[in-house]
Amino acid sequence: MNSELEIIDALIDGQRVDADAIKHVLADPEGRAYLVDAWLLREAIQEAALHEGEPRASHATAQPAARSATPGRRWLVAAAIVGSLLGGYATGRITGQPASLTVTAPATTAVAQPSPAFPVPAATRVIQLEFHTATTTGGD
Amino acid sequence: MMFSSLFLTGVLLQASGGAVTPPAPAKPPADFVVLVAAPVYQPDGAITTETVALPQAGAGLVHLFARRSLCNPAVAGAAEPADALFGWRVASQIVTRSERDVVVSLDWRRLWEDGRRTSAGPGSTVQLTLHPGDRIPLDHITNFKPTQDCRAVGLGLEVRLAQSEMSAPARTAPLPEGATPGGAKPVDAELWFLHTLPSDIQQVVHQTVRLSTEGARFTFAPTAVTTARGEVSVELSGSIDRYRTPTGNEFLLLSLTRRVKGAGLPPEGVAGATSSVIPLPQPNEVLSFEMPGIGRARSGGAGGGGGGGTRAVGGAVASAGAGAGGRQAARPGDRGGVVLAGPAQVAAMLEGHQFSLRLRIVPVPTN
Repeated sequence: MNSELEIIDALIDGQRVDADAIKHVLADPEGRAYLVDAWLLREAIQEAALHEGEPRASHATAQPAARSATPGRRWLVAAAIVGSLLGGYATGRITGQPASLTVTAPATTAVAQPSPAFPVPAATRVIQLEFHTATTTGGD
Repeated sequence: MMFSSLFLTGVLLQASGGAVTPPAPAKPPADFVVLVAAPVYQPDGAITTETVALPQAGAGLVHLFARRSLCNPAVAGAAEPADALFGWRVASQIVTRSERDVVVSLDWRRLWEDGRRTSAGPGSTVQLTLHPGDRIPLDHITNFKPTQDCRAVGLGLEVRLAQSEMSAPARTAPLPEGATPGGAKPVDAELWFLHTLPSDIQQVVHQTVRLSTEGARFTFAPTAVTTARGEVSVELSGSIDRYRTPTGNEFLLLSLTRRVKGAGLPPEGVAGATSSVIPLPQPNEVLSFEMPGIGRARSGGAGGGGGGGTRAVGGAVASAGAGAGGRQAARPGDRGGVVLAGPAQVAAMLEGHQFSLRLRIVPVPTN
């Protein structure tokens, strides 16, 4: 990934960033586009997480008395939460191969098209190519 | 459910912790490109396909949609399009890559139907192990209201895996004197890969590639071609490198590699490469790079036409055993056996099929 764009990730992550550096990156249209993409991706992930939690939340609001009536159980739930987090962390650590979850700028970035792609525009200039035997690697 | 989510969160925290101290960049074991495609199927067999490449690693979010009618497929990045008639949101996560395949997790959902945003559209989360040439259909929207302008049968959503060449082909076109690498500012390259069948039916794949000041690489998913000797796949990949002369004029070096596989050809296929140097086109220009057969039985043949520094590269392609295409046909040490003239064989095989690449350079849209 373009190292200049990493500062945007840091900004979104709430880390301390150099103000001049972020101004410099955002002065570039590519930097601004990356900021929007990264922010929207984060929003989409958060939205998905919220949707997943919706039924449980409504269930909880329907029974507030039951929740407050059992403080000991809340400690149990809290302990389970911490245990799950630690268990997950440990599993991730042991199984290795950390998956990079940072939004990486693709080598080829999709962008909004200024004009429709179809129908295919007529060629204004034709160039004849001739292939020669390739010596590049590839294929299977 | 909640605890499994928390468990997963723990795993993710660990992984994101790894991202704070970035590991040494490792080269992907193979240059696979995962493409999401939205093909429009016409009743006569013509197909127009919009494609977008997913990020090579990590997470990605794109929208594929049709505007005005099913016949106008388009792509948007993470921002939702405002004018979608039908379309999908596709969130992706590359899980692993190997020499043989790519494992990708996809969360796709149909978000627009008949111009309305819907929360009840079909969708799913799938983890796919993709091999080169794979083409996995995810969804299909039937065109129930064909019109004179759009008689399409329907619009699909597919995932495809393409493999680009590991290294750029040798440059065969001369650069202007004194030209040095690097362009002025990023631009977008719109690319159309056209395949015209002997019946004159056309299949087109489009993609937009952001060119940095250095340039960019691109890959099209394999195109199936039915020949008299069976079905073959044609893979096109390439790169655009940018150069500037001391006087400030900008040039593009377009390098292309076309690989044909199947129908009795060597397992790695038969590859042909070419390149062309052109002045940076204006946004109202559309360049068509016409590709003849992959090789010639005799040297000579099509000359370099057009303008702008195009140079034909011919000769030395008929000798079997030269280069990748002929490796299986004639190995060092083979004596007197019958060898297959790979490139010539392919040229004959593809007779009647025409291929071309159209290119339009446009400014980067400002958000």
